[in-house]
Amino acid sequence: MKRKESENQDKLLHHLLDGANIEPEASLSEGLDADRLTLYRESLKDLENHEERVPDGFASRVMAALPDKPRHTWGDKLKSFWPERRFWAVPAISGALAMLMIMAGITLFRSTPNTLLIPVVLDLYAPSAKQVELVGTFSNWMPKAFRLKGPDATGYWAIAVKLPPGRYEYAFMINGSQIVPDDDGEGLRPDGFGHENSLLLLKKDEWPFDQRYQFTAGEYLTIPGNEPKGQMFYPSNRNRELWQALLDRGIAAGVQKQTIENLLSHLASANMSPDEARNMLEPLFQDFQAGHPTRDIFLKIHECILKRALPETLKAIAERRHEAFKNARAMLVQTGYSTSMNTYPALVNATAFALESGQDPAFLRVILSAGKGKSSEQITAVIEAGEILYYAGLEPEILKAIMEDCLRRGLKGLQVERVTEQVQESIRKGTDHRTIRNKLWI
Amino acid sequence: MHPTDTVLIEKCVNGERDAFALIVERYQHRIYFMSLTRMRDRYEAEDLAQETFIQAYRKLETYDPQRSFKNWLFTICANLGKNRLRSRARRREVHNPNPQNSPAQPRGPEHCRIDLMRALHNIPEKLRVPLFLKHVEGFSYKEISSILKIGTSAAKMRVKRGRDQLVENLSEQKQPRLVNQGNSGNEAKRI
Repeated sequence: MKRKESENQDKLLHHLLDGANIEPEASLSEGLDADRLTLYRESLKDLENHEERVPDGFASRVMAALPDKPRHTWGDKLKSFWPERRFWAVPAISGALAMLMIMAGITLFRSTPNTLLIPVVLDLYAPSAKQVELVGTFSNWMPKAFRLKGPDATGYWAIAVKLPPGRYEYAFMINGSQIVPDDDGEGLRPDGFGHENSLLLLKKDEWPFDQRYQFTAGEYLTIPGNEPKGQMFYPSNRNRELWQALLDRGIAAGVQKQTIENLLSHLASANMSPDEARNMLEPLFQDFQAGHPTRDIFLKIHECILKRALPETLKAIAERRHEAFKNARAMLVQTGYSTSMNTYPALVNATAFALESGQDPAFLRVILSAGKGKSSEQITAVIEAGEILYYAGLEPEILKAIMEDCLRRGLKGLQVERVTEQVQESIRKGTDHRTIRNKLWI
Repeated sequence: MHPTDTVLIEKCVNGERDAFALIVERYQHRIYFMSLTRMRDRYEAEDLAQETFIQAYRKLETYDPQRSFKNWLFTICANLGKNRLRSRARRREVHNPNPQNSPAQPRGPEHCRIDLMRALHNIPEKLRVPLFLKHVEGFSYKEISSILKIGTSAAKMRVKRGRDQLVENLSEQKQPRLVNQGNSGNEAKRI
């Protein structure tokens, strides 16, 4: 009991040092030692006020050592790479090997469509866990695909992954059973089962730095294909024909055999009857055939299976998402985004997720109308930000005003992300929502 | 009115090399402090700070003006520092199997400077740098996680532990001095 009290005090202390807006009386009533807080504040003040000055003449020495032009010329690059006297064979052999590997890589992965991958580090504090896995939309919610390494000396489990730009939902699975979201993700989103998933929004221009400084090869696990290895579907004797018919129907609709086999084997293992499965999947097959985005609906089904949802819950959740996608498409057509939704599917996804989250359709219509003339990327980023801030509890009126501000100012993806972070931070600090907006654009 | 970083960088990219001098002037002390925090040696820190500016200049064309230049510069410094510490560790393995870090010797005579830098340098490197980035440079946890390539929760935990250690180190340094003063002045009191 005492230990817990001390942990709470510690948490409150660091919360205050992070700049949280908590009344002094409230902190004292929590039992926080005022002397301790003062000691920490004074020590950190010393550090914050401390200055280190560079030795005299530093700037001129730097300027003298600069190359003529900012960019490395090819000659410079080769020169810096090549040893001056001995060991000339090292770069020569390395070069030949690298060439060989590049050629082999080109041959092996010629069909890989996407090349841009963004590095992300995800971690979880779980000192007593025996195993932590990462599950999410990037791996079709399949367990055992991505295991975190850890725990390190501080009790953290971590995984470094590279993902293509996009919107992801994920969670951590502890010891193969307990599923917890990442509290430090970009946002939390209800999963429909009374829990939450973490959101990860990766923009195309997320990582502009030269990666040479950032990572070493092999440090990151790459998840480019999004399709885990499928499992063969062997329908049991009971209802064999019905399951087989459903499998054939899916293949005829154009869904990849591996995907549909995977899905059906999971639905069968979740004790869903073939009739129920057909009722649920038929509208999806029709949408798939019509070329509408259905991937996220299939993903939701996979998530339901991982979280062991009952067949009726699974069906209700999948139908809800399907409905959200249908309404999103209709709304985009009504507001004049027919062309954009075909050329930029992320806009449909963002609108559908916003509708699924329970945001008022009239509100979204206003935002879509305000976004007329803006690029699809911009409007998508604003709708995504709106969803995150809606979950963060921002008042609808202020949320609408901030989203409209972003559109009016023509903010791009990363700039919108910065606004989202700042608003989230202010909400956490307990700032009045109107003040948040007023201070946002100063 | 001072030109913004973006304006200066544009000038540099367009061939106005002298514009970079203003950037160096603007960030030299901060990058040096960051280097010193990482390396704990004034000569190595100066070297690292210099290399940071040179690399930044070479890579200016890859800098995205939508991003904060400060973050970009500190990321370069953090990565170069990491590489240096790695190579220093390798060199030590070969030449000196029992390394003793020599924290930077402060040049000023003030006690507070001595205490603070000694206390800071006695914190493990993994906690020291996030603490510096948070409390000296005012970066957010997300920015720290991006600069150091660690998760946000790890950044928070490291800053928290860094604070605890800083306060502990400062208290330890103050304690013996006060006791000594007390002995000489017949007012021996514990704090």
